[in-house]
Amino acid sequence: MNDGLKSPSKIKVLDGNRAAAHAVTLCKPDVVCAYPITPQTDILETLYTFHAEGVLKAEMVEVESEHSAMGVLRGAALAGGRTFTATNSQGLALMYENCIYNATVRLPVVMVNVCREMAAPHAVTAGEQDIMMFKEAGWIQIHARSCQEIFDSVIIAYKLAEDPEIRIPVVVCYDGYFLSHQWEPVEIPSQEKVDQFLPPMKMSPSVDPETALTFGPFLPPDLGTEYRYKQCIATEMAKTKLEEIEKDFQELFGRGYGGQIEEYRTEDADIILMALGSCAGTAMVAVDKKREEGIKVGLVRVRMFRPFPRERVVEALKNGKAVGVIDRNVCFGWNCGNLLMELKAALYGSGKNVPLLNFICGLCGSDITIEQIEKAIDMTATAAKGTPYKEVTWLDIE
Amino acid sequence: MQFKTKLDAAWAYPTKLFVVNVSEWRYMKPVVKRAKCCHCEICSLYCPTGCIEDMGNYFGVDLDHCKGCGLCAKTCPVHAIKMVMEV
Repeated sequence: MNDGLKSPSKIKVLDGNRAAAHAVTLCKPDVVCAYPITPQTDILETLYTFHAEGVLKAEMVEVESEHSAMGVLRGAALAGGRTFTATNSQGLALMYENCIYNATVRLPVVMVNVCREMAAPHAVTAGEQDIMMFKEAGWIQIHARSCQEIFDSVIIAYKLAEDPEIRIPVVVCYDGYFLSHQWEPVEIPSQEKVDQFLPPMKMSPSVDPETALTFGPFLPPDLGTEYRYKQCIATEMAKTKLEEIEKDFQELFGRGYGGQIEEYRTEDADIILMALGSCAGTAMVAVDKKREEGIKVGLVRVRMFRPFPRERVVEALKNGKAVGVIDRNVCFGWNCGNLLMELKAALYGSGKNVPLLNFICGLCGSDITIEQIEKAIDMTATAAKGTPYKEVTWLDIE
Repeated sequence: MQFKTKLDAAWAYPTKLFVVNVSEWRYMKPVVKRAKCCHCEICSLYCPTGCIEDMGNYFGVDLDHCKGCGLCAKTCPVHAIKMVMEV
C-alpha cells in the first residue's frame, strides 16, 4: 500500500479518503488525532495502516470524541507540530467549540471534512449542511471536486495554513460517497517533491517549558477587538495567498485548479451556473450538452468558500445575464441555499442586478443528475430573457 | 493602523498577562495583623488566586490581584486576618 509513497511520481487508483490519507502522509504530520465517523473512517484506517507500516511517523492520539481531538491538536500545534484531523456532520458539530478556539488562537491545523447531511433524519449520506454550519468558525474552507484535487488541496492547505502571514486553520471539504468512496486515478508525487514544496513547520513564538506562555487569556476589550481585526485582515489576505501558493504548486507539480474559483467555459457565457464540490463535474457535462444546443452557458465552481472569493466571482459573472446557483444545502431562515446568499452578498455594490435562480438538489445523499442541471440551465436561460421567474426551486420535489 | 501589540492572536507571557485589573470588583479587603500572624501558610494554601505573599515573618496580600473572597480570613487559625470594607 505504501510503495507509492517511496518511489517517484506514480499514478494509483484511490478513493477520496485514501487520496487524502496519502497526501497527509506525504506532508509528514507530527500529530494525527481524529475520531472515526462515516464516511470519513477510511482516512483514519489508511493513516493507521501507514503508521503501522512505519511510513507515517506521527504521534497517533486516540480520543473519546471529536471535541477532544480538536483539543489535542491545539496543544500539538501550539508546541509547533504539524497536525491533522478529519471529521464531518455530527462530529463537526461536537468539535465546533474547539474549532473556533483554534482559529482565534491562530493555529495552522488542517482538517478534512467529508461533507455529510446533518441529522435528522439520520442520514449517513452526502450533503453540505455540516460545512455550511462551519462558515462562521473562522476557518479557511477549500472545496474539492475530484480525488486528485483532494490530494493536492491537502498539501496546499498545509502551505496556506502555516504561512506566517496567515496562520489560520484550513478545512478541505469534499462530498461524502460521491468523492470519499469514488475511486479515481490519482498522481502521487515523490516525497522529495512534496518536501521541496512544503518545508517543516515553524511556529513563532515557540513554546517550551522554559518560557511559559498562555493562550486565549482574558483580555481587555480593546485588545480583543485588535485580535479580531487582525484575524479579519489575515483571512482576507488568504484569498490572494491561495492563488500565489497554487501558482507555485502548478509550477512544481503541473496541476492547478484556478485558485479561489474554477471557471469552465465562462469567457463568452450569458448563462452562468454556480456550484460547489463534486456536482460541478456533472454540471460540466450538462454545460457541454447545452453548448451544443446553442445556449451560451458556463460554470463557476467556488473552490474557496471561506473567505468568499467576492472579487473573482464578480469578475467571472460580469457578462452573465442570469445566474443559476446549485445548492446541496439549505440556509435556514432565508428559505434558500447558502451559496445563493453568499452570491447575493458578493454582488451587492458591483452594479450587477441580474436574475439569480437557486436550485436546491442532492440533499440527503440524492444524486444530482445531468438532466436536473440541464433543467436548471433551461430555467436560468428563460429568466435571462426577462420572463418572471421563481427564485428557489427544489429540483427533486417541484 | 496603530496596533497595541505585535502578537497576531491572544498569546501572552504570564508575567505580562495582568492587563486587566481584577481587583476592581472587590468590595472587602483582607487586612493582616502582623503581630498575630503565626506564619503557618494556611491562608496561602487556601487562597484561590494565589495572591498571598510571604513577607518573611508574616504573610501579606497582593491587593492588585485579591478579589476579596475572604477565604484567608475564614481559614486563619489565629484570626490574624480581618475583612474590612473598601472605601
